[in-house]
Amino acid sequence: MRRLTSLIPWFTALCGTALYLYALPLATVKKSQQEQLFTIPANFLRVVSGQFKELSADVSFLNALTWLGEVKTQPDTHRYRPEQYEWLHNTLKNSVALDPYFLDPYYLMNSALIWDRYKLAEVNGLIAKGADTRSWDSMLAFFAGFNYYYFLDDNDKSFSYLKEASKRSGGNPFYDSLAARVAYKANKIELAIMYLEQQIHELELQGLQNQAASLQRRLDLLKGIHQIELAVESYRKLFGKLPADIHELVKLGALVSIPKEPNGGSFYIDSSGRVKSTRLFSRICG
Amino acid sequence: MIIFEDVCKTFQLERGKKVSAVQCLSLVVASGEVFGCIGPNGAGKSTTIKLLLDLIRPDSGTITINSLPSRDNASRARVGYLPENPCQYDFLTAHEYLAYSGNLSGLSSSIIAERSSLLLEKLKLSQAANRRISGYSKGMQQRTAIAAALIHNPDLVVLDEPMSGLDPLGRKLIFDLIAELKEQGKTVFISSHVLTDIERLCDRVGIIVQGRLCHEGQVSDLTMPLEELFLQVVADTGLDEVK
Amino acid sequence: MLQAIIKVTFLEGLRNKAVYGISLMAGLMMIFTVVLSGMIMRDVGKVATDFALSTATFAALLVVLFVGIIILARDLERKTIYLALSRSVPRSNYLVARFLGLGLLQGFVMLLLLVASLITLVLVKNMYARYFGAVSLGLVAVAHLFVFVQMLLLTALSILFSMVASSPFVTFILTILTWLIGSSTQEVKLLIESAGSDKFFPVVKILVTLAYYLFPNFALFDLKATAAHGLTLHAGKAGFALLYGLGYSVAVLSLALVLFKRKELT
Repeated sequence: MRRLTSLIPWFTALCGTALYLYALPLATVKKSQQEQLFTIPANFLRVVSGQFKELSADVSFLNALTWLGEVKTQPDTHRYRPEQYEWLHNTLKNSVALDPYFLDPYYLMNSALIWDRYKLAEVNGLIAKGADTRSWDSMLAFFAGFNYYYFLDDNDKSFSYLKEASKRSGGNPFYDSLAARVAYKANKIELAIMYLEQQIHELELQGLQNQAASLQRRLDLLKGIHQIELAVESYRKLFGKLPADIHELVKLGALVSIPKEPNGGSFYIDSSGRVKSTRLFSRICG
Repeated sequence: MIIFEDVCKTFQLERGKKVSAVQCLSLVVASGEVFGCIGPNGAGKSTTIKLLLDLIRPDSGTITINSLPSRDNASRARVGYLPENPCQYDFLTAHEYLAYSGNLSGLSSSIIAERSSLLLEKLKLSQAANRRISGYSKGMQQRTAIAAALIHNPDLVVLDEPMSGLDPLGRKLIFDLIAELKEQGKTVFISSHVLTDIERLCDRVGIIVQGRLCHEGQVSDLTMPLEELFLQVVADTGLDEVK
Repeated sequence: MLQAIIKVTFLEGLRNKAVYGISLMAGLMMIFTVVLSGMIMRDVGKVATDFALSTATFAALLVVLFVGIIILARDLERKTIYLALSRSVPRSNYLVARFLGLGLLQGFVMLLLLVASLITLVLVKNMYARYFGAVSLGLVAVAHLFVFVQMLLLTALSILFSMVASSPFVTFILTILTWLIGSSTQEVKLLIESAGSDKFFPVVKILVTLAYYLFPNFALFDLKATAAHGLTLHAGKAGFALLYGLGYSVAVLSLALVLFKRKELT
């Protein structure tokens, strides 16, 4: 009996160890400035988590989310090191390995990794797999379909995922029109603008103004680029060469005014005629 | 009637050592008899009782209670047992504990109510009957255990050190209770250190030393006080303690 | 006679301080679940369900480890068992009644946990109705039932271990190890099978297969993902798990009975 009571501290220590195991990734986040990023291999986590796999998936996801929360408070100019992307990627990958039905890590992958073009094929592969696993969910199929077209130039897969999204949503016309545009290979930026407008609309409906505002900046950027690119195109048709700079377009009246760069940078035309921003295209953001 | 026939029991100790707790014990306790079993500490008195109640099993020999072998559960239907240093379920009240004890023997609730109020009254526990046993003094716990052993009005009462932990008042209560059992014609098997009580209560005594029954006889036949006889018997076996 | 022993076992559990400690922990975890739900982006209902069901599983496990094992150990150590066995109560009845009493206690605790889980989830559902997802409250209840069956099996195992172990400490260690290993063997087996033949030594494969069949497969009783995502629960699989749990318990208990009948209660 006495020996059994003396077990209680022992068991507390065991629980402590287990907690530490799960909290370890969280603790390393705090040290991320000192280059100490660490994730536990997914297979090992699956085995040791036993019947608490789903809980472990939630904790992994929350680790990633809190890390992103901290990162957001840093200045816009800050750029993330490859190992930080690697850590975020692995943590989210662990989360879906532990619970492949869990929507949030896919959602975060899509907003934090895809738009920063980190390991596009692999990450979108995970999202597509998530869309297959969550066989009732139109959102992931929509993300996967859009990404296949916009980032990965895989029109066939894009079309089939967008059709699937339409089917799952009970024939949402928005998904159908995206699928149709994919079918006749429409301008990518136009598609992206449609995509972002839909996302912002949905976020605003849900009252998530902060997230909507951050997407709005991304949308404004794309709209600006699109507007200038259209002008560049008409300039090229007219003169058979690229304009020297954007001001030339305004002078000729091809552009009414130079669109405002929403992140505080400015637009320029590169040697191949593509329009870019002096600021980073994107940074990790929700 | 209890019959022990050539009962032997050895216990395995660690590292292959063996200790002989009971050696070739043969003993008969007649119905309606009060039998006192005395002996030094570790002589095998409690082992004998546990063998009788099938809590442990003999290596050889047979034990019968009213001609039923002790291995048969039915042999214990009318047996009441007070263990040495009894512990009760101390999270129960005395009332609940006696009800549990009665239910184990299949008594109806009305009989349990009747018997337990009678026993609690006799053992001066009525006032504490609705408090949890964990708050009782050692003497009260001992008396509760005796009440639980007697709830089903057993024909054979086995008491292992019934006087331990009791104050003089408590001892008087138990003494009277055993005397009453004797009057009612119950068979009583007592193991005790308190030789004066044994001498006054028992019809017959057996002295066990080192697992052997060394002396057995009617109390009325004693030619010297029991204590003297006891010391002499123990000395004869050559046990160091006495010399 | 059986009812008396069942009742005493149940009462001993209820009047044990450990049960209050465990309930308090479970209650705090449920409150934490509601607070935590606010942090989740989309799958709020899923995360809340995970936390509620994990809490229920953990609390039920603690009841087996810190209430069930202690009740049996104390009974043998303090010789309170003598009162019943010195009467005409057969040893088999005693052990079965003890098991049923512990089962009743576990069932009662499970019922409390179910109520706490449902209150938590309904609260979360009302707070974040849009993000509650496909959580099925019916399946949450079924998941609690499966945890209950699982803990019945673990209780039967702890009784078996207490028959062979030299001390409650050993019983405790054997029980918790069996649970941990039994919760993971299916996963390890799948992992090794999917990894291809060259990655692991054949010895490892044999050991894992052996462990898979030797230890009860507790992963069968884990319905957290099913309830949290409202997946389809196949009647055949569910029925098999229940029969497996009850059949295994009966087998383990029978073995414990054989040992108990021969046990010397010195």
